[in-house]
Amino acid sequence: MEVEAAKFIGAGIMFGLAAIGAGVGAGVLSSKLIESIARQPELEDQLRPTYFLGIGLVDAVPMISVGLAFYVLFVA
Amino acid sequence: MASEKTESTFQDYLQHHLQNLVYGKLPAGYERENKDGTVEVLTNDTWTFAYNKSEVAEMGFWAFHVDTLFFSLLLGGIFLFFFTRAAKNFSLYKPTKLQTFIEMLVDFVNGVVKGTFKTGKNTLIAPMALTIFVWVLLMNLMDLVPVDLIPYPAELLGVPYLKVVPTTDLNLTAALALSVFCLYLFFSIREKGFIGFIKSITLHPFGPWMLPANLFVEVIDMLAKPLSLALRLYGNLYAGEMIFLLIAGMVAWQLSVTGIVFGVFGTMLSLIWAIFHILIVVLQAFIFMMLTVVYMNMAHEKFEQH
Repeated sequence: MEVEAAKFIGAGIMFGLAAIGAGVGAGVLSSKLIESIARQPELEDQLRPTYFLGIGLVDAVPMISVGLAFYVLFVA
Repeated sequence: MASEKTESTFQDYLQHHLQNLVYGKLPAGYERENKDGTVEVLTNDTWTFAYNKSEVAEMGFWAFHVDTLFFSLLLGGIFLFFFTRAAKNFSLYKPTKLQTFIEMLVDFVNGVVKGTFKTGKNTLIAPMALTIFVWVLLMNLMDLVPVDLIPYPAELLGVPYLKVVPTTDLNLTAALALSVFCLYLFFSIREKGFIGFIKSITLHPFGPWMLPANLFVEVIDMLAKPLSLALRLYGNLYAGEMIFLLIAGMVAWQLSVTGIVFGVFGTMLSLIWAIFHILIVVLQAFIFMMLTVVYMNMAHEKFEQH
């Protein structure tokens, strides 16, 4: 296989898996947040910072993957 | 745009912008290529700035990323300047806008530390959290400066490379994470005592009969802390910077070909990504601070019998 083609395939897989992971993670988190707020609306202020912390942790690894995919695609 | 002079292709443009300004030592006998194409052989070891990739590679480990150092210290100075000024001119009845803003920040960090740090008593944690949060936030905010605004004038002045976002340099994030890790070790040993610290890493998850396994698990757990701290911040900011560069490079590259349409399109893209990126910038600073406080909390945990 040509190196260029392999680069595109590799970067595509990285983008795709990153999107799947981030999507599932953020989806689970958000749904749980909504459930908890629906159950106990008075806890919303306490839940939100924790939620954002979780989103940040979930968001980090896929972002790294996307960055590396761009690196593979354009720089390496 | 910076595309006409030195960058001949899109990839060169990207690579140029992802290279730090490196100050290091070139060994004697290195054949150095000047700008006009002549080759100069160095007669003895020279401390100098690197002007291309092969020189960076030749300098090896003991080379300084001058731009990272400069911008991080500059931002740290700005942070200290404003906070000291607000503290000196503190007024209870006539707060200035600056003072109110800083009070908001301090209040926010104070709340987080109070909510998270519960195992011990240590008055150093909150100031450290504030310092980390504001400093990392300022360094991350440099990402919102347009990618060519500072490097291009600097290039005209003769600076070969310039990266303005200190947190896109792994050296800086690793240094921050290592400092946090050293504090973690220090407080662990101070709070538990040396024996207690040894106990906490050898007797823990499986009990005293599985000592090697305990040690293995705990050491990996411990090493993962600074590693994940450093890589998370670096990776996020690097990826963000990369996307800004791709957008900018696309504009720079298309401007000469298809005209103004791509310019407008690229500016819109840049703007959209910048707005989205504000979230990441603040969030990553917050997470770095939050995890630091969590680790400090773990360091102050007293050893429990299991």
